Amino acid sequence: MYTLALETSCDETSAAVIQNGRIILSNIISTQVPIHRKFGGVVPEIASRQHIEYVMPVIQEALDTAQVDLQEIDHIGVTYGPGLVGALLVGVAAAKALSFALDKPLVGVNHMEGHIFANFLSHPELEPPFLALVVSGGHTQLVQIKDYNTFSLLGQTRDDAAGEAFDKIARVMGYPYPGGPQIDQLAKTGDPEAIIFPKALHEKNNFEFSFSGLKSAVLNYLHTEEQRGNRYNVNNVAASFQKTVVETLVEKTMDAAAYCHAEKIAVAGGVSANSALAEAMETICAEQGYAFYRPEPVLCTDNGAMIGCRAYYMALEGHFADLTLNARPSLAITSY
Amino acid sequence: MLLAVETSSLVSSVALLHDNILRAELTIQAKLTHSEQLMPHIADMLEKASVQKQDIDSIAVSVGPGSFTGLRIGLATAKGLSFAWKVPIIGIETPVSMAWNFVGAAARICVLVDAQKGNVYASVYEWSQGELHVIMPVCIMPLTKILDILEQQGKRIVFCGDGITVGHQKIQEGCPLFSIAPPTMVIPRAGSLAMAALVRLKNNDIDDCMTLTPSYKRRSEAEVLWEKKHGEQLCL
Repeated sequence: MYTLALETSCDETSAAVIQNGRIILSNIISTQVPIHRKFGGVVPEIASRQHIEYVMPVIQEALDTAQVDLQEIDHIGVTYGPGLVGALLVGVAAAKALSFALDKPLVGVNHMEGHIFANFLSHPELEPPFLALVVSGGHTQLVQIKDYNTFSLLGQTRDDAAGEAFDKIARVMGYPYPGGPQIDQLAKTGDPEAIIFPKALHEKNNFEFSFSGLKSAVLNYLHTEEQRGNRYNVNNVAASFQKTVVETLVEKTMDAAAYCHAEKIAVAGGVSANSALAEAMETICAEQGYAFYRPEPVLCTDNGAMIGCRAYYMALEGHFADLTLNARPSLAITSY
Repeated sequence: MLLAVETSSLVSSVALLHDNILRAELTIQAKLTHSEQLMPHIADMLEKASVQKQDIDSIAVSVGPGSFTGLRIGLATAKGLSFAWKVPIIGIETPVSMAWNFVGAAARICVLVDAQKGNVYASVYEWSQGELHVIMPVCIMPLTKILDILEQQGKRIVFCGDGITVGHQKIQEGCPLFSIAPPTMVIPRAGSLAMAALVRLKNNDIDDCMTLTPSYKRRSEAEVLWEKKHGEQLCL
């Protein structure tokens, strides 16, 4: 069975062809990151303009690379939220047109569920149930994956996403967008104990996150040092900030794993590419006897393949969308 | 059979044209979202007109200027259909398609598309000897300025497009040579779009579904601000 999947929720235009849900035949990603870097972050109108320009070429390339004819496709998956509305609409409109034109069923996919399902592509042996920590520029969530179509949201961020804090702090320190990889790099040679930053919602069995206080604390530190005319050590700031985020994520994930008796833990989303997070999760999972999963780096970022994997498992159970499918910028995790 | 798709404004309009017969046209102004409406409208129209998908051999789409989001929904849909059915696609500038609402008119046609903040995308056309001539290509300017220019030219003008709603009174009271098109002709309609596209199709002047993009006529605000701030030209 072949799935054609489209992803245009933010700043990557991507199309993929997936075989039987798990095998990536193609995963074409046209990134706009260098464009948005000039503006210090994603500009929604520019993102939408790039999507309408590149959506058809990436579909063509995905089919060509997979050596699958459009007629052989069994169903079409598309991200319909969460994300930037104008960006989502391009993918949704294109996917609906293909679905109608070819009489192929349409599957509307939740972007965050797609991130979680990226783990199935990187780890053929992985099966539900497991606990997923989803961390990206827009989201921080702990989700229990009970089976392929039943999820339970244990908690999410009340304010800023973890990735948002990374980007903002990097920008204030003068590093280009996206800031996450920059902080990761800087932190490698910094002292994580140099500065103590606060952790929020520290109590046991509270699976909600809050990173706005931490973000403000780091920004305050930077501003205060600047005002005093001190040159702060960027490596130490990055390392101390990153350590605080990683510890918070790890603590809450372990807490949640015990709470829902998980045996497997997976991370997903753009921030799961962070080396400190991966290392910390790997270590603690090994110590406490959990199997740990993380998608390979290319599948941590936004991509069509993960959307195709999610779409396949929805299609197997007949969860199709009709031609009225609309973009849903703040779509929540859904169970069927 | 040519399928035409018009979503550049609040009007949702789709049409089928075949052998100079308008087989169907569905035009709705109900302030509903294009995203939810467009595909169901196309599907409904085909069914009600007893037209099979495989009968469609070309697609026309309105490329703007107009609502950025509306244009992208229309283009993504039209490009997807063109790609899947392997049929030619033709992008028509929205004001040109609107001038086709007035085939053979004696007056000049001024199309005003709302460009926000008192501005309009203005263009002027004239029919003579059975052909459409561009008198003034699309420019962004304040509504008052285009009215002044046209008044000085001393020609009869009929106005259409959603840009007239902001200046309705000014147009009607402005100059005895000015008139506003009736409700059936003041809006962009897929039937007229199809007619405009047919001329290009006959000349084999077609676009590519891989590269066709909206004709925004205006950069994003972020780009304009960037250049103001940096004092240099921005290349994306």
